[in-house]
Amino acid sequence: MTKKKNHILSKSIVHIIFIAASLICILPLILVIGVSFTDENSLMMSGYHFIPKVFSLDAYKYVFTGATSVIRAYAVTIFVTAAGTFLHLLFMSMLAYALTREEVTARNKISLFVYIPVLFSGGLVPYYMLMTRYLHLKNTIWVLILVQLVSATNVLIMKNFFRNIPQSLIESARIDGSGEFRTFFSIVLPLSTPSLASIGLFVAIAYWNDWMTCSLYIETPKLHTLQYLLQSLMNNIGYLQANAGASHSMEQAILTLPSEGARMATCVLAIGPIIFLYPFLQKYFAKGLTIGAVKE
Amino acid sequence: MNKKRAMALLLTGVLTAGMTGGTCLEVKAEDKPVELSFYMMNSPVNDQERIMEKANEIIEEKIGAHLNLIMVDGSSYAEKMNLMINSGDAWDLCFTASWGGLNFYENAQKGAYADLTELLPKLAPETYSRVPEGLWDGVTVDDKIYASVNYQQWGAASRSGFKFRKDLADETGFDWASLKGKPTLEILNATGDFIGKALEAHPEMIGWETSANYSLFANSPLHWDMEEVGDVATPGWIRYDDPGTVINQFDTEEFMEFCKIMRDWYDKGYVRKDGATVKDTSPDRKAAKFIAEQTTGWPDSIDFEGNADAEKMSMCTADIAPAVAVSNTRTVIKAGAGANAAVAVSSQSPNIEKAVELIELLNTDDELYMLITQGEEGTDYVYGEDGTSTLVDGKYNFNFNEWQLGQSYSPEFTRARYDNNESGEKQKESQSIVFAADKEADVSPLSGFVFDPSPVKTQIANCSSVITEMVPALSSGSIDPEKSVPEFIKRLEGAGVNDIIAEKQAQLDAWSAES
Repeated sequence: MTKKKNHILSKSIVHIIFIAASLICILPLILVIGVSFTDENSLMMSGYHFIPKVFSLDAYKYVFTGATSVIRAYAVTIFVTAAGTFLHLLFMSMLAYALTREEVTARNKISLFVYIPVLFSGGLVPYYMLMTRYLHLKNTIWVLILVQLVSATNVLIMKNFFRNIPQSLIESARIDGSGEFRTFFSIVLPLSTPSLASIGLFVAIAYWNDWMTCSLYIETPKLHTLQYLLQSLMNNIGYLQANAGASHSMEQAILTLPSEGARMATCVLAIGPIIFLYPFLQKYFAKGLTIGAVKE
Repeated sequence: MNKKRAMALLLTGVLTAGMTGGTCLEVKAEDKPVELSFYMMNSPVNDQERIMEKANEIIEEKIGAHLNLIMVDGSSYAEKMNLMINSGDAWDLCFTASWGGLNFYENAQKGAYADLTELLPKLAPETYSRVPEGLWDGVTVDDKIYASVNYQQWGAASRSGFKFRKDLADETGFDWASLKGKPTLEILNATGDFIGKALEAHPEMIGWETSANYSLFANSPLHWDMEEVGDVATPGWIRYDDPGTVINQFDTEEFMEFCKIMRDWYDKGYVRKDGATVKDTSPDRKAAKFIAEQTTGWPDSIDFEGNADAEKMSMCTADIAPAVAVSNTRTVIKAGAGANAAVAVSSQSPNIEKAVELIELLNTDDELYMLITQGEEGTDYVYGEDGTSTLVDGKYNFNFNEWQLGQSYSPEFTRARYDNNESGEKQKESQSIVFAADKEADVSPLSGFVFDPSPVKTQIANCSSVITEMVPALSSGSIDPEKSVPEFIKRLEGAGVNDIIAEKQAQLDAWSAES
């Protein structure tokens, strides 16, 4: 009897903790959505509310018609995320696969070449010089994709996964007359879908959330990504206010920045699509997390 | 042997290819207008292509150049420009200043900017002559001018003061006019009484603005009859009464008194309780919640009646928040005034002379300047029946960043959008007072002195982390100054504040011995 009671007690404590944790995650999100649908005047006079006191779609109207073209930014971000994730998976898995094949005699040296950047990085200035002066990628959409094309960590994970694929399978494919590419695309890759899906999800999120690359290399507003717009919306006001002493025009400049509601609306739009990727790929998630960690 | 020869052949091949490639480009450049890139800080602008196409027609015809105006968001501009300079990326002109991480002096010392000492008087004579002499000192490093000053329509001399809600002052019988020229502490004490009375009648309002970004003491030395040596956010200011001695501004009676007043206001509920962490106060300003505020604009309501800027609270209109302003400080051209807003040319630019010609054109061709900064009349802005000018929603809008592009001042008032009516005339009149005063204002005793922070870089970084932690809390009254100010000073000393002050003093002494 007491055992059962204890059980219920501990269970409910655990539940309360997790409910609290989920609320901490979800409430701010709901608040942001609430604010984005609130009329600007009521926002200034009575502050934030979960349920808008005066409902208004003005913020969204502003976001879709204003100078910061959210729709274009959407297109850029979706293209970069889709193309980037596909190319990343392709190149990363081809590299990882080659590094597991014994036929590649230089595989240890190449591996070293892959792993060195994990430990050492050149720093921001050389990185910037490489991109702008040698690769001439400044202000092109490709810079948003190429910069993150291969991740050494992901190569490591994939390599461990490919090792688990029985050698005999690849050998028998060869005996049956399959070339290296065919073996890779028709036999190895289909066996790797769970790991590809979970790495793909991480990569997609990284591409979706990347604003740093855009802020460094992109100069035409046409190529701005969604997260970059969001980032600058959030930071501009503070920067301008802190330096308002420099010019009287600065105060007016602050007035032209998007209102609170518009900033929240951009927020909602920026998290929108990527949130739907989670439930869609969740079934691969748990499997994916143990990839490379457990050897059978 | 063979390998070596092949290598040599290959190298020569590459070299000749590179050389011929180079000459090809030069030939092309002569046919086409010179491409000039100009980086500035601005939020995205609608219809930029339409306006730039028209602007470039003028620029191509007048000086044979093509301007590529690149706008970078305020929050990332400083970092981006410094990165471009450090990595040797190509740019021709850029907006620069000595605040907000833009590091004008550091970059000038590094040799990133072209020396314009001789080019400006030769290729941009009118631009050069329009700016008061003292301002050029502000952009001079080692006797060389490294940027063209953007002389703003608000003048160069500073005079600070306070603004009060006019309707509430009338309601409570607050005698604001008698505060003119009084020390800031005395005004704050009087303001406290006023806020108390006004809040009784209007409890939904906020007495005074406090935020994490701005402290009336730390960000506004002029209010305290002091001036910063080097960056305003670093320790080490001077008093105008004793300009030869560098002091720790936080170790002064004024700072202690200021913090005590703010603590008192905090306890009485005159300021926001979360003032130490609030970053964006514009919603409160737009909602007309503040009863009193500091101001840097002048002439005030006593010197000149009808100055539109003095008659409304910040970010409000005169009908919802009418205001009166009194100024209480001296009128002074600060040492940093020249580098407040300036345009620099890259020392790596292949077209430095063309770039200077462009500076002259932007500063003297009013039609071109108005086109880029305001758009086209009738399309982007319109004059109403009463002569008031307004921007058209959703059209070209330069976000009021015209002051970064060039001088917004001209003797004929043709470089800004003034209303075509009495209030426009009033505005011109009030600005002409400012320009007249610019000629007579005190010139800062530090004018021409440039502090080189590199010997005390570590100490400055250590101190600024202490300052960003403590100053917002002290300036918003959320901690008790009796206990915290001495603690703050002790922590600053631990972070090396005395080294910074000694270094500033040494450099200042060496400079004054020289001149």
